[in-house]
Amino acid sequence: MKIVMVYFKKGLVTVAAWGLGLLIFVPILWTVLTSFKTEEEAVAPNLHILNFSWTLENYIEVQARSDYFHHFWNSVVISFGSTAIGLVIAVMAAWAMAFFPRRNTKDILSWMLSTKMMPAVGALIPIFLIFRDLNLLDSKMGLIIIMVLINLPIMVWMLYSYFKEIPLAILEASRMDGAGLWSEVTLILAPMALPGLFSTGLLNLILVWNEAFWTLNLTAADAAPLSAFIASYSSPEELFYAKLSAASTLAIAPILIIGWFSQKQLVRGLTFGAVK
Amino acid sequence: MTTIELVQVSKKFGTLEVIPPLDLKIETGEFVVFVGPSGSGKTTLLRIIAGLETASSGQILLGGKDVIKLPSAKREMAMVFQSYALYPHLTVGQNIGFPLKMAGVARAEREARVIKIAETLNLSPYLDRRPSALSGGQRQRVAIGRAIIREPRAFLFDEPLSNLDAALRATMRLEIMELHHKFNATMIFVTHDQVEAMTMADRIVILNQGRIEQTGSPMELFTHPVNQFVAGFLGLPRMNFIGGEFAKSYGVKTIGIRPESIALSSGPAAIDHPKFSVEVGVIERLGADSFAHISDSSLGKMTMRLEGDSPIRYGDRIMIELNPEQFYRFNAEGLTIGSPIIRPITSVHEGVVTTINNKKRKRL
Repeated sequence: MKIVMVYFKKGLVTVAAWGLGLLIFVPILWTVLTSFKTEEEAVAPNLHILNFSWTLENYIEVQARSDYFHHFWNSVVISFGSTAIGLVIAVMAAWAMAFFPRRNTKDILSWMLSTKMMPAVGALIPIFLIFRDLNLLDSKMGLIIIMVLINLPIMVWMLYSYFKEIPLAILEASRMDGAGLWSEVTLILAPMALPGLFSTGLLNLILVWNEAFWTLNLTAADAAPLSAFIASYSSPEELFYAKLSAASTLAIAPILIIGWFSQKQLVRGLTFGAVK
Repeated sequence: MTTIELVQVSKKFGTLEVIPPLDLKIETGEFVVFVGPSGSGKTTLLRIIAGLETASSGQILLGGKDVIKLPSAKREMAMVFQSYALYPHLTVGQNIGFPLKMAGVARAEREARVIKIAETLNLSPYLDRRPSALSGGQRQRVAIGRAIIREPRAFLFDEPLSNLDAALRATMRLEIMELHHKFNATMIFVTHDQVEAMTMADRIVILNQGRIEQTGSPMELFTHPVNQFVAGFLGLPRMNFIGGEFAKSYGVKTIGIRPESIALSSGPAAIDHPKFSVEVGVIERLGADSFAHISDSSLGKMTMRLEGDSPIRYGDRIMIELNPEQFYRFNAEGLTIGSPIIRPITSVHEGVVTTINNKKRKRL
């Protein structure tokens, strides 16, 4: 009886996990499938799962109408640029906090994270005005700055918890062995924290790639990344489902592929510190 | 190798003074052990010397030059950590060679020196392994290799043996002592283990609550402790302390007597030797010796040494006698006001070793 119960429980968990996984995956699958349909089939009342007339015309039209690669390049520049700058700042901040803690280090960390709890729209008007005055509206530089700022708390937190795992004695040993600050960070700390640096960078890349609120509000055409590019296909009349799907598929494909190949690091990064 | 001199070095954490200003001079080639209970400040003091902790005041003179403002990297001392602190992403060879790399030694010379060090430490087969693939003893040897390769001005050891099992600890103890003689190295060794302190040190520094209680050779401290703390700290099992009326009858606050100085009473005792009938509790048998935990209403609980094969058992009542000449006497402040004179005192006179024990002394 007992063994039967164990298998029953295992089976139940498996079914539930698959069910949940599919539930999350269905919208993406639906979007990808819809992108290959004609507009009529996309809004047809009867369900076509695979038996529809496959077409690439949505993709061709999307590229022709709004230059996908221009926005793709903007996304690449903004996400990689902000990740690189963010990592440099976050490594320094997390290093100081992890290895030279002061009485108020924990408070600063909590305070940093608390800024993420404020609704972004609360800061929109002041930031918009500042950007306008500094001529940063619709510029990649402006977006990189804002992305670094909004994601720094998470990056610092993640790196902090990674650095905390590195025994201080090892860094002290390097100091005793004659390593200066630069050697200590580049030859000892960085190689040991490499998985942490990688998953922090990756997570930031994904967050920035998918960021829509600031990109929509601070860009028009020049600096608009893919998230803004998708939005240009949404219309209240629901007439362009197929093209919207094609645009979405194009927008999420690169990051989906990167995420797929690095899911191990990603999962480790996201759960890090949570299971201590 | 160099002398190390601490001048009025102190350490405060916030308003808490963990090390009041202290002075200490360590000679070239001396093996000094800092020993004390946890929280006595011995590790903090070592870390201040290493530069890993900043002193709140005072000077640290290395070969006469003040290094208090220099970072650890520039003090040219080597340290062996309790946790080994090897670089997990580097091979054994790279670990040992790291200090040379930092010193800018060319690759070819570096490798040659690593190979030589590895040979002396029996690490040659493991040079390409990562530290994680080594046993505890091997890791400790890598840490030692990394310390000696640069020929530092002094070696600092922070409880390096406490993570090893008993057998390995004894072996590593010998290896470190060998090293000390071979390099004539100035070494500071921190431990809470009084056996390590007694066996390894040229000189022991006993710390308690950040203060130096006493410094001296192991036997000096063992035979002439300046206070009750030192008397209780060195010696295993620790010294028995008797207070109350019994001590008062000798005109002191506390009487200390070592377990090996309590004798089984057989026949009539000397007139001035008090006798007690005591109850035997647990007996710890170590082979050559046994240690019996005994108790008596007027003496309290005590430990005494018995022969290894003593027939005495748990629950027995035995007669013991105490020889007042073996008493350590302490006043109300815990300071020693009398050490026993019965212990043979060895003195060297013009090459002739004379042993004067108490009986002879009495006759003199």
